[in-house]
Amino acid sequence: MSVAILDVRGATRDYALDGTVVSALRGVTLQITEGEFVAIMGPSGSGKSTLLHLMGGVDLPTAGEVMLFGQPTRAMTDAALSALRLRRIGFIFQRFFLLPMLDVEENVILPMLESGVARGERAARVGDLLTYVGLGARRRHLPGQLSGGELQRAAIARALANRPALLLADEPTGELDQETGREIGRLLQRINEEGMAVVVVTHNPELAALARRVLTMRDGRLQ
Amino acid sequence: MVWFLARRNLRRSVSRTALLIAGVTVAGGLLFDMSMLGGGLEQSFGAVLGRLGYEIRVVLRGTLPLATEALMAGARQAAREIERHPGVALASPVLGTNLYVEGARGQATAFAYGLEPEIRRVVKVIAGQATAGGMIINPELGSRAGVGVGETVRLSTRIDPLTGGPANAQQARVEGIGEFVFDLKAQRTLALPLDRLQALLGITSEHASFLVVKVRPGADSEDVARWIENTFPDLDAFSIESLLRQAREQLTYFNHFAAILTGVSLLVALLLIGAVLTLAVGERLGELATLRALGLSRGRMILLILLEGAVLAAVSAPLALLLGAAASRPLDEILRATPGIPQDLHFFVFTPGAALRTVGLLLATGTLGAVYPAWVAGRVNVAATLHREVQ
Amino acid sequence: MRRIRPALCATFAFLAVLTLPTSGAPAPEQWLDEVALPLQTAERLGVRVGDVIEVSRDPAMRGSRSLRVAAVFEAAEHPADVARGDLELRLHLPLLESLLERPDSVDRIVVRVRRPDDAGQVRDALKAFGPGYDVYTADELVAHTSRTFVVVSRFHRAIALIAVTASAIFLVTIMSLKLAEMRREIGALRLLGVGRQTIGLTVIAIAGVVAIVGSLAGVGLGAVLVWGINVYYQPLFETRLRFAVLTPDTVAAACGLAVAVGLAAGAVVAVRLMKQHPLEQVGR
Repeated sequence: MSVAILDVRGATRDYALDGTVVSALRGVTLQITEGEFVAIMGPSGSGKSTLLHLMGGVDLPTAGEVMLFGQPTRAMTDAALSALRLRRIGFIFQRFFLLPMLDVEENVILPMLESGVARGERAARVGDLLTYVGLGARRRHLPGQLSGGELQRAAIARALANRPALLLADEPTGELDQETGREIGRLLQRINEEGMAVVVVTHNPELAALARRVLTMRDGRLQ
Repeated sequence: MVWFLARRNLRRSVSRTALLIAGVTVAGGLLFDMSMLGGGLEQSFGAVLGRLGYEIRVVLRGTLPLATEALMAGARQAAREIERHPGVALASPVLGTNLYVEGARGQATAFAYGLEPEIRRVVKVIAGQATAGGMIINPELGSRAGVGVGETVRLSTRIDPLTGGPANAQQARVEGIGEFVFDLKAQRTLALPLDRLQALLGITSEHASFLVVKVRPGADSEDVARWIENTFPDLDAFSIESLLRQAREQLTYFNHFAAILTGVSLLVALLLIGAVLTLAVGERLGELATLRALGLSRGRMILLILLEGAVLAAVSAPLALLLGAAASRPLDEILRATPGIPQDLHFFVFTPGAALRTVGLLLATGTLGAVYPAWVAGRVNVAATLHREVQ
Repeated sequence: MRRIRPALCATFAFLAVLTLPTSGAPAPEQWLDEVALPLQTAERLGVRVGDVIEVSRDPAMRGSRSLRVAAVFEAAEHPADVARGDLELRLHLPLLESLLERPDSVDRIVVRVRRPDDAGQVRDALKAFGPGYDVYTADELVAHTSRTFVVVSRFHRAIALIAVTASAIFLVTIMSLKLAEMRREIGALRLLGVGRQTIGLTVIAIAGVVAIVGSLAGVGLGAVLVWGINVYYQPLFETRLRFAVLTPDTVAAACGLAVAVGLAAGAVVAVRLMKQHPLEQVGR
């Protein structure tokens, strides 16, 4: 029986906006188990990214609970949540968010530096990761010198740096052309096949089709 | 990671970082100069006094410690009585007056010291020798009068109004060239045996301008000075420490000036680093939110920004020391042109303490300047910022 | 009674004929036992007109004379006297000579010429009188005694140069950052068709306004600091002389420099912004 690494129980997220309360998420409940590949689809403003942020401990629910690896996020300190994100969760963003003054290799080793991976281990791991994502020849290039697909692959390598159990991707193909989007999709599928749980928020039906489970959101609720 | 990122962030915009370092360097250079100025003159004065070879100066009551115009009667008698104090190694009368000196190159006025043999070594001989009965002149007098070691000059206490030349002149042979403490720039000075100068002035052997007292090792010069003043109601005794205390009070202006400019320098550095880092944090909120999402805690984020401020200051510090050291020379020369300042006195005095103080203050200021931007960075709403960055 | 030692005081003995009217003047013998004190000396000694003080050349007060305080006057303050704390007495010359037992012996002689324009010629004539004398006109004396303050002025100017350099770098850095923040808006405007000249002048104008407002605020702050410095140091050194003065020239120089530096920074940033492609500026 698969272990639930992520357990969302009736999570609600409200925002105060100009004196009114906006509910981005309304009582969402779901579980993600080890090794699952889940896609979350829905129109803009349906709360997909909000749900992803709650899943990653980047945001906290206004009501309900999010259990990350068996720990309730609302009860955790910022330091504990950050440590959890650092070591057990990988994030991929639509806009890649690589640091522009660091080259590809330096961007990838950032999480390893923070988690205290030894220098020798770092060098070996970054080499493997860049080869894995197909950027072995681009390790010394700055983000400004890379194409959209290369940027996203570098971001994926960074997300995998500390060998997380869960990979969260927010519109990973949103800025990419169709063919490049397919390449990224295949990469995510490979990562999942090697045992990592992957949750993808996407508008892209081709990407969603690669997932074993597709969830749909509308108006802050799971359909 | 924070140390790595703090260093690399400074390389993002080379021109901005260069401007920032330039600004902190100039402010830091001024800070270093003020560190050297505050206490520098006192330190230099203390060093000059330390070369005197005696610890107490005794003058007529009510006269200034370094003045020589008034004549003390009974000086030798007083010196002998002072020497009876167990803490006193030596007490000697000194006479100071102006003389006319005529040499090969013409006539010049000079300040003359009448010294007893046991204290003639207060003059540092650099050529020739200091014999018991001979005359020592300083290089400026030698140059002006056109005389060297072994040559003869004519000494007089006044000018004959009819001839325009020295009246009742006596010949004196130059035995040595020496350096005198307290010489002003371009001052002409000579030293004669005390009795010879007294005879030239037509005064008795009991007359002198002041007494110098050397205390025995281990004796407290302040105690001896107090004893002298209590024993001799007509005399004031100034120890080196008391002269330094007086100098400290007179230097209030410079110390205040140094303190004010120290504050201004630190404020400029603080505002510069604070303003630039605040703007820089605002520019890269998306990156900061990403770092938080990747697992950098709030505390480490704050540390990152504080480190950036400290690194800026650390890079600027050695440049500031170099700039301050370079600027201190012309500044010192400007102030040393003040009339009445001995040529060995300096206003800007380098000490390791001044350098350490400057570096410490700069590092503290750089870190403090980063406090507000660090607070801003720590408060970044990660989810909202990530969402906004995508829009 | 107070014991005053002439050796402590800067004593000025003026011939009575120079200071008192000749008609109706008291007999010379009455003048001899009088002394005039500047207000500061009188306050420090705690004496008033009519009080009697004792004056001697001897520290043990041997041979002292009793003098009546005939006048307390407001002396013109000289910067060189600040912080010296000297006491001053003014006695008639014969009285001081008799006190010092030095007849016909003075430190200096003051000369009033018939026509002030002839001062230089009179000085030259007196110099030729004989060796052993130094002769100065009043202007030369002022310059001579002001040497210390010339030095202090030069020092202040040197420090000001350093401070202005730091401030200028500060100004340029902040201006550059602030204006560069506008690059997205500028990129959008250029894409809409607004010309480079318009944008460039706008950037420079913004920099100018910031510099002018900053200069005026700086002048205000400077005025407060000048007031504070004088309020602090005047009682500290017991003087009415002003230690800091804000002059129109200083204000003009400070504002002029700040505005010039601000405009220069604006111009540099404007040129750099115009070099960037508008699409790059909006982040595409």
